[in-house]
Amino acid sequence: MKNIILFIITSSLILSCNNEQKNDTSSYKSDISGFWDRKGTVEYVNGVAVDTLLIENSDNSSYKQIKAYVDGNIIWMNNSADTINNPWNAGMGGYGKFKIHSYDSLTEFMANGTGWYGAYLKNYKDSLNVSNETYPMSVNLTQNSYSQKTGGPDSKRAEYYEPLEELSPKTKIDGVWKRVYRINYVNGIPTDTISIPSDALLDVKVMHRGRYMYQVDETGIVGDPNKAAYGGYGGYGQFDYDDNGNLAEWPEWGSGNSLRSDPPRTNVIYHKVVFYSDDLFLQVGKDTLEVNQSNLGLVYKRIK
Amino acid sequence: MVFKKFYCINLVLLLAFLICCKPNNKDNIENNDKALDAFSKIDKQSGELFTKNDRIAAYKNSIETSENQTKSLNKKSTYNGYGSQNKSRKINTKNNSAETKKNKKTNYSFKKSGNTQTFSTYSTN
Repeated sequence: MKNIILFIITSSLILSCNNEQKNDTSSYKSDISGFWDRKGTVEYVNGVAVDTLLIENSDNSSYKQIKAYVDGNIIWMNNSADTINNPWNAGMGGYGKFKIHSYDSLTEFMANGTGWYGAYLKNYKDSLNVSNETYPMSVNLTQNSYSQKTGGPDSKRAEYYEPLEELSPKTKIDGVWKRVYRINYVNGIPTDTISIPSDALLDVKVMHRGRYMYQVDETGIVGDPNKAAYGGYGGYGQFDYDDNGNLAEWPEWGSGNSLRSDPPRTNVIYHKVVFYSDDLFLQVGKDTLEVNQSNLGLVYKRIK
Repeated sequence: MVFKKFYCINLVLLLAFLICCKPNNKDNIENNDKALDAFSKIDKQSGELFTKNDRIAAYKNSIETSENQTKSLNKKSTYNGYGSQNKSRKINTKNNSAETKKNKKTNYSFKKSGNTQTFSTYSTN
């Protein structure tokens, strides 16, 4: 009798654990949320991981790739610049949505980008008359790593990432934001407000626990792929927000036309932030060495 | 006694100052409502721009106007006080090799370059 009871309890425990892993993706959403730092590439033979090639040990040890999954949005950037074949001088990046299917698969719907990838994606969307390119992926998420394979489970390579630590608690400015208006200032006085033509220009900014990344896709507004501006611009860095309207950003490296390489927290840009509601805020660049940010008013709306 | 009176007056004044300086939430809400109302008017105005080209043109025009206004103000602002020069000094850029270098024109190519590009999902498809 004792054995039967023990057998039933053990069986039900095993079954309930299995069901949770297959169907419940709510914990997965929070587990995958945040910034991920590309560390290398996992090599597979017959579906078995046999080796991990680390970037730091490669010929291209200065290569960087960071991606973030936040609130159903995916944003990534790398510093793979190619000034021989492209008119812009920095790396590339992309922005889109993602959907989790199960614990080991998700799909990314990439819609916009900067640098080579932005130009490629624009051509892809225009030629097929679609709004994004889909990337179905087999993924492996653990507490300390994340890897993704495109091209199905039989792919021989997977990108390997490790999480970037959270630098600050959640603030009011944490989330995914899209630029909706631009306020022009002359001598500190607002002279004009214009809405952003979102079908031609997309500026998306992800702010998450002290780290930020943005992508400004200008392909629709520039039009000519041979112009440098076609590559847009993007950036990655760290930020502090005090919930009283003071935002400090420390850019580290960029994409498209934003070529920079600064160690963390060396060059700061200050902004004054005014929240009109929980989902709409104005960011005005304070007088700073970054001339293009000074007295520039940008209004961002939360992407939900 | 005099000190106590003086102390009381100061206390009252300090309290009055703190009450007056306290941020007024009502004002903030009103200001936010005004801003949201202004944005909705801008949306309405933008909605009248029917084609994508019209929207792009309006956006570019707004930025250009603002830049011109700033440039025009910068031109007018001249310092003529102590130590100022009558003629603006021309900056010799002959030795500045970075500026005199002619920009190399590069055309965009859909082909990925053959450099030691690390494998990436987004650039190997």
